[in-house]
Amino acid sequence: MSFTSIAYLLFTAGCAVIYYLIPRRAARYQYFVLLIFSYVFYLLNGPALIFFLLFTTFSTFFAARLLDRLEDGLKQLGRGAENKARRKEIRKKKKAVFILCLVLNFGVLFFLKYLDVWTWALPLGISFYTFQSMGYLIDVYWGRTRAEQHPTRFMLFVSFFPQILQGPIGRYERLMLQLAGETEVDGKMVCTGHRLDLVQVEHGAQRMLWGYFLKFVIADRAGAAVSLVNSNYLEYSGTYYAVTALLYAAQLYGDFAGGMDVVIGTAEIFGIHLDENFKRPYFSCSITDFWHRWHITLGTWMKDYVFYPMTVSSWMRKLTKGAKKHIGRKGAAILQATIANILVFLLVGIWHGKGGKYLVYGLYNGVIISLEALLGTAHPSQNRVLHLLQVLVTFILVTISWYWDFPTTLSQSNYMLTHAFTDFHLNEITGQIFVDLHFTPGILAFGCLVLMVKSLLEEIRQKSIFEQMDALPRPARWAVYYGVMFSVLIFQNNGLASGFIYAQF
Amino acid sequence: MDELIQILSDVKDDVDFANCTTLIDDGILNSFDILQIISELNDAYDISIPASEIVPANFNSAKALYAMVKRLQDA
Repeated sequence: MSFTSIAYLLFTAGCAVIYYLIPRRAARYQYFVLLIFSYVFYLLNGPALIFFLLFTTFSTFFAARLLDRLEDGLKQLGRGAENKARRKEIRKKKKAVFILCLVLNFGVLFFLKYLDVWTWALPLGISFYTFQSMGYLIDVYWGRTRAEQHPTRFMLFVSFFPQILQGPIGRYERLMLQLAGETEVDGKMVCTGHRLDLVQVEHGAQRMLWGYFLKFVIADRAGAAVSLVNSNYLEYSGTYYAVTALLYAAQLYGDFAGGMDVVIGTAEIFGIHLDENFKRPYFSCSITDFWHRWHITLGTWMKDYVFYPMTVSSWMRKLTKGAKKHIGRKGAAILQATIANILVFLLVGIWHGKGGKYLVYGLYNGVIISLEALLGTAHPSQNRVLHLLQVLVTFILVTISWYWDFPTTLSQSNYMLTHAFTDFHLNEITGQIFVDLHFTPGILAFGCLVLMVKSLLEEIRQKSIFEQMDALPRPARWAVYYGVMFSVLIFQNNGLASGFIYAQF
Repeated sequence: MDELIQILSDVKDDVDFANCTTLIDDGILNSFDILQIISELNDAYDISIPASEIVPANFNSAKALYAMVKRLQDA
């Protein structure tokens, strides 16, 4: 069931009605509504592959509980010298359980996604729910959080239907209590459930509507032209490749950020606030900044669970200790960050899928980020003109990176990228391009203009447009809703509504 | 504590480490600064800050950093 279908809206509405009909005295069972709907959602999307979801859910659930028990055992032993051997033994056991669970789950992901042995479709959302579950496992192993005790609650944490297909990758500490409807009262956790709050529902619906605008008016419209060039790329000149990359920049943002608006909006209807995944990425002043604004939850996951563990690991410390003598403190830190960044972004590349193009994509980002650290250009300049220049350069660098994303193979990527520079003809930039690409630029330009105004208002006031709209009188608010709604209905590409790009990861 | 603030100021001299309590939340320290701070604290206090300690709560203020250092020294 695609997020863009009427079925999804009815499904969400049905779930919300039952969810809010649960009486207050049964608040602790309210989350079961979400759990049942989440599993139905998953089964409707592909029943055969639910085995993998259950495997990740229960292997993580039981491993985390075991880790917790072993940790309790450690604490009971105390610090005395007489128990040193026993403590060492428990720590070893903890590590073994942790690594086994990690290897099994990432192993399944790797096996299904990267080895060609598996000929079935991929289990939906496997990259997202595996990362979310493993983040939780690492938190429990590190003692940042206690293990979840209720299997059904944990099942919901892994499968919550709005976010399972394309994220955002949630964190247990922020998500679980919300899903379970628990709040802290006088230092004690109390299950109060979620009560119907019309303002919240309106906010959720606003977010969803905006998501559909991005998806239908911008992404699908630009996407049709991108697909056209992609499938017959040898027939076009480099000028078309340059235009295609720009169109893809619009498509990918509209598709992924729009999808996130639908996801976050849906969750908000249930009173659940998911982590934000986008913060006006095309206003970034550097690639470093870009990754703080684009697919944020993947970036922070990588930072917390890969980047820092790698930089404080003993081999890295040995390396930097040696380097410090020769290149000084700052130089050593740069070296450390460079190695870790390149490895992290190689992983980000691999996360996106198999194939050389994603590796190059990762490497490209990692190398630029390291260069920015070295040159000290990651931060916005105080000078407005320079800042604007930074934004422009970053946008160009990001657009170049999409050449390792939308073409099908690495050789096609390289061909298109080189020709976009060597075979670019200014005199080809005429209305004929739109005719050749079969699309009407006016509607896409309108969509991008609306997006630009919204983003500027948010960037300048540092406040989301939805919060800003609260200040508007009701008639004005509804005028905006109707405007957006009619735009979606009128300007959607009839019958061209495709799936979401990130749902395939 | 003074020694710690001195170490922090050596890494980044334009921050009021004595009073700021939102070093991470307000994005004053980036991951690059954090790496330098970890390396300096490890050497100065003969500790080994593990990845599990790298959370905003421990890096938001000099006081929080000091508390973490003490805890790791005692462990």
